[in-house]
Amino acid sequence: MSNAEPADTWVIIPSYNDGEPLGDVLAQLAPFRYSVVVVDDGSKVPVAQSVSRPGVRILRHCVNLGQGAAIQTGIDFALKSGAKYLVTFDADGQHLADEIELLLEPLRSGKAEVALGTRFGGGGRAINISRGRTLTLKLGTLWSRRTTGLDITDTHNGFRALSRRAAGQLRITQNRMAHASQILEEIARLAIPYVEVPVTIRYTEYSIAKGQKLSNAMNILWESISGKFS
Amino acid sequence: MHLIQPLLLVAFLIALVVYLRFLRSSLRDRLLGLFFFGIACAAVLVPDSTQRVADLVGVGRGTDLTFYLFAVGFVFFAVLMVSKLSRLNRSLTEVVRRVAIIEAEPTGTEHPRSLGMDQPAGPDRTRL
Repeated sequence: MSNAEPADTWVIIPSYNDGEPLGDVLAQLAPFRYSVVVVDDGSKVPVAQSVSRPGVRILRHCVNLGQGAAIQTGIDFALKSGAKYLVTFDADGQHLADEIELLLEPLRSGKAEVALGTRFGGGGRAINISRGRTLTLKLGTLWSRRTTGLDITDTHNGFRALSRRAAGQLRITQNRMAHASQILEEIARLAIPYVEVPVTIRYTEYSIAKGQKLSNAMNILWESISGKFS
Repeated sequence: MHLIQPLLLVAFLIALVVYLRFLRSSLRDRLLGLFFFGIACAAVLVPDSTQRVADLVGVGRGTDLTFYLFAVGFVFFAVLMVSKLSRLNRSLTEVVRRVAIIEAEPTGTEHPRSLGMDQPAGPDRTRL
């Protein structure tokens, strides 16, 4: 497989204290010919090389910085390794590996530089999503549409693909959760051509327990606003 | 002279000595420190002086004026600290990121210094 020559599509997985689910995600990705980089964001128990498979690199932040910082580290590393396409993928099993191709298609065909996954727009699915979360995300989407002017149907969806060009242009400085808004702001500011691609988000017991609490939306809003002044 | 006066003076002096002796800072900051020390000592040695300034600017009591100035100074200090902290945080991020990437390098193939040089630099790439 990809032992000698790493594939030019890099899947970036930020991970913090994900044990088994991360192993499952890597197993899910294994049949595909992608290069994978896991950025262990200072997990209490370091992501073991043992979960590693051929084509998977593991980077470790020696202190916990946040998901945004982990993604940027993954982007830096992938670019340095010659990535042509970069995909951000959650460690908790919310995303489907076989949908990565859907995100890559518009980049390969030159239709866009960034493909944003949407769980709400035309054909996108959110399995097991709660009403409260749907409402919060829809409000968040409204907010993102207003602040960025982008024509989007979803926000804070961690499943996206970027061309090398786009990944080199944008810079995530929001270390924690507000990076998802920042990516949209950067796309708007730099006028990077983007498309939305319907994807499936699968909420599992693990991802619900681990992921964003709804009450966190206020924190993200605050981070997002205060980050602009620092 | 009341007992409180030497106590305050000694406290100010200790703060000044600690600042000048142990915290490296620019000449401008040192002079500023000396300046504030002077004002503080004057206010302690000539208690009447704050009252006179207070009358001048329309504040009832010298004590109130001192308190207002203290509040303003504190706000400035807090803002300064927050911005310093955020700069520090950015530097920390950059360091942790570079260590993570260097550690992942296959050993010996590349000099760490070349890190990041082969990427197109974004507008904010070098600003910490």
